Amino acid sequence: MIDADKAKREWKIWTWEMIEPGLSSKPFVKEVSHESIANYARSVLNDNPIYFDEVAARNEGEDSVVGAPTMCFTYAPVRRWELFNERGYLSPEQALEPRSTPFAGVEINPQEAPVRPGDVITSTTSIERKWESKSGNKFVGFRIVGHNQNGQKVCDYVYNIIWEYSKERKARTS
Amino acid sequence: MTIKASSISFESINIGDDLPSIQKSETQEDINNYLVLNESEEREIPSMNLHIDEEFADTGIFGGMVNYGVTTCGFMVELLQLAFPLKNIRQATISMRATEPIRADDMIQYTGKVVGKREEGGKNLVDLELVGTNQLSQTVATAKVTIPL
Repeated sequence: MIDADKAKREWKIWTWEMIEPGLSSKPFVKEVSHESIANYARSVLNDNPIYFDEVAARNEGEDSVVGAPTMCFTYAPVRRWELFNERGYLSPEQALEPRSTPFAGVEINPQEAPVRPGDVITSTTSIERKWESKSGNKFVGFRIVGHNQNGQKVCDYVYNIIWEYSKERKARTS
Repeated sequence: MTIKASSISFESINIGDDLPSIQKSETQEDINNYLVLNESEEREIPSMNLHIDEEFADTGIFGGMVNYGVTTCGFMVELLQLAFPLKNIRQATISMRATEPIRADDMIQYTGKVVGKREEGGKNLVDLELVGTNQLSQTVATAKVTIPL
């Protein structure tokens, strides 16, 4: 158990120079249920009955209700801060003077099997790459791979963030 | 032609075909609900969140709160589902980019087009480009998708 207040005061913040492809987090385990599938669909404003109703799912050729392809972001979350916390460092958002490292995009690879209620998903997060754009913006890609209890790969995606802008971005004003 | 999941086939698809379009708007409550509904893990060391922490978001690069980019990705996959069966979407590769921030109550129209059709490695593949456009006509998100049929 981490003493959060002490960590915020004493830990250093992970830096760009410390980002090394291949660094990975401890596995994360999450069970999927009918409720979590339905709630994920609600959270992305998707009322397709395939996520709520067994009969509707079977009519679409599925064995049961299934998780939406992008539900991977919840049963196998990015957890990028854990990569840093496990090593005794803070992510920039956790610092006493925090800054954001926002979402830039995502690359989703094919699933070997759908996610169904009762599945137990074990995922790991690793640093896939880092790069700098021509304008000097810095990006990091985190790869998340998850398998179900049968060893089938149910998610494989790379979540890209903007680690640091080269200059202040002008906010949209309207 | 606009393609539909109920009648899709590789033979019937042509380059230039459109996907059905959808419109999405999230309230701030919708954005807040993403965490609540998905029972997001409590972080041992709390972190600031530019989707729900207004004061923090105001000081950030977007100058205010924005939606979750993964929700935008979810909307794009919902658009795909109008044109393709879910079992094919699970086999797709999707590369999505956020290009402008999306605020609460923005109205985003998501559209898509077939830009390629090919056979490769014994598979029939369809290439798509998806775009999200806000009420100011700004492109807020794009995606390149390759889907087997």
